[in-house]
Amino acid sequence: MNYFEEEVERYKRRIERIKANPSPTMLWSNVKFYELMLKHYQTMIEEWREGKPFCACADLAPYRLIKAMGIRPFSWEMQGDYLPRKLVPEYFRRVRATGFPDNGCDRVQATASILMATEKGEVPMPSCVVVTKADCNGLAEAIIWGGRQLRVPTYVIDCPLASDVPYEERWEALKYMEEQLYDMIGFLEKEVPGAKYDEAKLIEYLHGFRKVMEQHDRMREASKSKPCPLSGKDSFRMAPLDMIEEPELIEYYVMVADEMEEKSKAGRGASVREEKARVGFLCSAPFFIDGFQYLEECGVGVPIYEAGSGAIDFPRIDDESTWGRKLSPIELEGAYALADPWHGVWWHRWRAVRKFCQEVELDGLVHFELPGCETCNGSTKLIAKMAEKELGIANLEIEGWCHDQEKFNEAEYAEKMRDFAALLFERKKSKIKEDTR
Amino acid sequence: MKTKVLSDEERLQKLLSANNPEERNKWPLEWKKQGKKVIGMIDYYVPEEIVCAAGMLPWKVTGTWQPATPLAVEYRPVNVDVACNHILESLLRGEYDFLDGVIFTDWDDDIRRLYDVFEFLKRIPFTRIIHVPRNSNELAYRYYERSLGRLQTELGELGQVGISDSSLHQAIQLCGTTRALLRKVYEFRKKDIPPLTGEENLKLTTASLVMPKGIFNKELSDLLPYLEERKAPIKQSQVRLLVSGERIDHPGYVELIEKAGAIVAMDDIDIGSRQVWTVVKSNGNPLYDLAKSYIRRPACPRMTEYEMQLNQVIEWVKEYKIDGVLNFPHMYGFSRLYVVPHFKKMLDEAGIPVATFLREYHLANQGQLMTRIGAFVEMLKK
Repeated sequence: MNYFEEEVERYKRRIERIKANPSPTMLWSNVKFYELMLKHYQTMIEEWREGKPFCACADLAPYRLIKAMGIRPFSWEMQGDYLPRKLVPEYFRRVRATGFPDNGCDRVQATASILMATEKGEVPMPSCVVVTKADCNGLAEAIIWGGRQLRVPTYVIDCPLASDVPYEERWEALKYMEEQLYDMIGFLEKEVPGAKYDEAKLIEYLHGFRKVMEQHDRMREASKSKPCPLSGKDSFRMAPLDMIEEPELIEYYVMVADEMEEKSKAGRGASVREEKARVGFLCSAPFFIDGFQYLEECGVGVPIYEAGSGAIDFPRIDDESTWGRKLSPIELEGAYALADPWHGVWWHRWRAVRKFCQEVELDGLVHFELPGCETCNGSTKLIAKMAEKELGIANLEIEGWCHDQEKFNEAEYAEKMRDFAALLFERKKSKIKEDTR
Repeated sequence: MKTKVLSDEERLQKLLSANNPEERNKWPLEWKKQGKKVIGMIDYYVPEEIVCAAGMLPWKVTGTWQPATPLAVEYRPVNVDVACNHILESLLRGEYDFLDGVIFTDWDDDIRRLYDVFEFLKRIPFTRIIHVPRNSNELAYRYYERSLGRLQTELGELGQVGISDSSLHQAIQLCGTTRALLRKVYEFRKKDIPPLTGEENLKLTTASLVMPKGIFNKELSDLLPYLEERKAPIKQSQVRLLVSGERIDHPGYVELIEKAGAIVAMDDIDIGSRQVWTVVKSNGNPLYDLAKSYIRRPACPRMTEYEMQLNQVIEWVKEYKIDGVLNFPHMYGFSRLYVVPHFKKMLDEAGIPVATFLREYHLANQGQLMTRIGAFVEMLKK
């Protein structure tokens, strides 16, 4: 049984288990999510067997465009994120044995480990590699290494830096992205047998993506209500980027938004019944435990994760409000990468963080810093200073790993979270006193 | 009073000391006394030519070589690119207060985030970052040309001068002369006993990045005949190494390698061979010429065409009769660390011994590094 087949069995078992014994705090729509994952792996196995082309990629790749060329985008990044806990030690051992740095972000190590899995025939061999070099050098380098090592056609999209103007005013950058995407189409049509760009398909996928984003808007709106209708674990949940526009995914998000709105109307919280404070998670969180439970146990809601559903305003098809005119389908794919708040200079990130801090009325921010994450860690202190100065929001900087459980000290982590909760309560009390004076 | 006439060796030693901590501010301060401006250069992908054409001094920013960075960690974490924290420490200590401007690129995420802190603090009035494309193709050259055009305008405004094509051509010639002279020195390095040790060579290339080009060119030009004859104080039998890395500006690291029994006969360093090998080919449009030449310069690990650079390293190994390659990234210098497996594989396939050792930015862990490098050198002797 290969890795994907094991995943199929794992998701089947998980679905059965949840149906038999639903969690009182988690969303029941999670069953739909697991069904989606099940289908995702089943489709991948089927297409792998049929010899259909796969394209290895990572975040900010033009997934919809690649798919509109008849190529299955396969995000090594997301595959790394979904790495089953039991495989982590072996996959990490393999990648570190090559000399790949073990002091870097472990999400990057997990992504790179998919290369070794490819060489061992555990996951599909890509026909090509497409990388958008934008917010994270590490992930991009891991995939580029894959292209070099596997000797498959590799296209690197060079995403220009956003500096002194908001991304939606950067026409020159957008033009550059558009030119490269057309160049990429030509490259893939030449290098990957059977690849052919179908604009109608791209438009269809972009409409699907828009529908997903509309559900994210509903989720964000519902997140404003207190107690929080979403558990921290569910705010952190992300669907694979390479299936973001599929009809079942839209159905899943509709269910999530419905459920959140229902809870919100009824004044019911997901994990916190009586919410005393609320925080957002930035950068990441541990994948191997519920990293939010220690806050939630204290009465702190976690309605939002920085890169989670509803946190980022990605440009949408037929939207004129963001760029001042409708963008063409290819421009939209280019604009997608430019919109990433982790790309660009610090205030692009701050602009996005400030917006959701204000919208969902956060009292604190947890900066979960992955050692080696240059993009987030390098701006953490500036974001924290601004959050404190402009919004009076408390900050907790905590170092940790997404996958590497061996380095994790749960007791210490729990203590820090509880201390932070106590600090938030104290600050709220002081503020109430000040306000009543 | 008579001015002492310096011997060639004394002139050489003076030139080599230009980027020593006690010397490196001398040139920009003298420049400023003449009422001219000084621009700090964080990354070697920004064409110095544009700064020179504006009548300003491009001055390579070197971080403090002191071990502790207590001020920097107020703004940046410790487990990131150590060079960035040392540069920030210098900024916060006021060591760059004389700068009129500083130019960054998005060389990697760490440099981008270092720019963020500079921009946040606003201690240097003119702080800019430009995107250097990672690909080498027409789309990238044209995009970079436009970015350089904006930089040209902004520098012109800062200096209240118009930067004409003619002044750009002159600057291209001036900087081209610097690199051509340095390439001659690199040619001498092919000798069994090169004229300079690796440590001295690094001092020379960094000197070219902090001194006014005209003065540097005159000095090096005068010293070339002497260098052609000079023999570095080394034994002929020493193992010849090529060192690969970024932001190695502390010559103590190269000295340490040489103390371990090797001669650093060639380098693949951003402020070494990779800048020296940059030749700006003139085709009439100076900004386009600069954009194209800088993007096509020997590639660093951030560039998509890095594979070509590895082939270049393999070529240099043959040309410079190199016995082994020392990959020398600094701790958390992830752009290089992420390519370690591929770097090793390519060199292994070419039959070239290679070892990777991590270092700090300031000179540290010397004993441990000496032992490890010494073991590598011993292995190469066998």
